[in-house]
Amino acid sequence: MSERDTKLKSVIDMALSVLPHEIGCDDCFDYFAAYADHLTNGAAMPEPLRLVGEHLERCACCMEELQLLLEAMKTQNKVSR
Amino acid sequence: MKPGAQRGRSWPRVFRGGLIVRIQREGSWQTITNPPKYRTDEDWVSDLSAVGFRGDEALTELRRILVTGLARAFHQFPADSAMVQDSAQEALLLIISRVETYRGDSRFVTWALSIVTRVALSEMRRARWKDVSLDEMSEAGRIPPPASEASPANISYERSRLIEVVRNAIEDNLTPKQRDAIQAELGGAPPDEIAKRLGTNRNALYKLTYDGRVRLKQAILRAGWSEDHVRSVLSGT
Ligand SMILES: [Zn+2]
Repeated sequence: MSERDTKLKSVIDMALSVLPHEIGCDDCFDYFAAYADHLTNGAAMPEPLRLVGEHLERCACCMEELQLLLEAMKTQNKVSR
Repeated sequence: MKPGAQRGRSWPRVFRGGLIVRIQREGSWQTITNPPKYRTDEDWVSDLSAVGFRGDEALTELRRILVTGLARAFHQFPADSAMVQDSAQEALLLIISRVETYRGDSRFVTWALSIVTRVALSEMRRARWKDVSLDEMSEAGRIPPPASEASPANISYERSRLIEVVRNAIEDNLTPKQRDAIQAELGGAPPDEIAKRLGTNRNALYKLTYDGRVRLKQAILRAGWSEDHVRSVLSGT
């Protein structure tokens, strides 16, 4: 895909993916840790966390932060009981 | 029982040299001797708020967790241990000043790691984009016309029309700030750096961009293009 095609696709995705209610990056960050915990535990996402998921689908920067957080969390061990 | 023998069969076990626990690291079990003190989320909050040895010990352990997590998260980037140490220190101060705002809807350590990864990533983005102006960011995201030098003209008629519709929507329907913000994002600039140059914050930038996206969608639809038509032309590269 040429550079222009990539930009064209990105801007069209940005436009057509608009939802009536979206949260911003800072609101997303407020629930970031809870979202990451739910994701790693495989737990069902309550409503505020679903909004985080929708934001992540539309915000490459927050998605990059999530990937790094998930990687950092791998250093945390589960202690056997 | 001989001195030094393991007592009991369950974990954790008491050994002459101290305590041995079994931990799971990425799917496999390992044993470690004298692990750091286990803290619940509530312990973290109260230990970090304590003065003296208890507070210092919690700070030291949290710092170790942040540094280890960051080193792992950023291992694919060029190694920069100074950045890891500086970010961990900055995040530690932030965490201490905000510890009362921890709501308990996540593990405390996850919350702390989310802060340190954001601090480190912001610092990395700041360093990478520090010499790039808003005009340059915006220019980098401009979509060239269908038959420009930078892009070959051998594209379909429909695709050329779509490019023109989108270019016109950006030129005619966005405010200058919306245009700069959206084009800068298309050019790959990170939102925190775009926000700084626009004299705003990341949340306000998201709102600015959101309003721009709504205007672009309306302009594309007004030009007679349905979403399905746009998608079919886009996929026919
Ligand atoms: Zn975001």
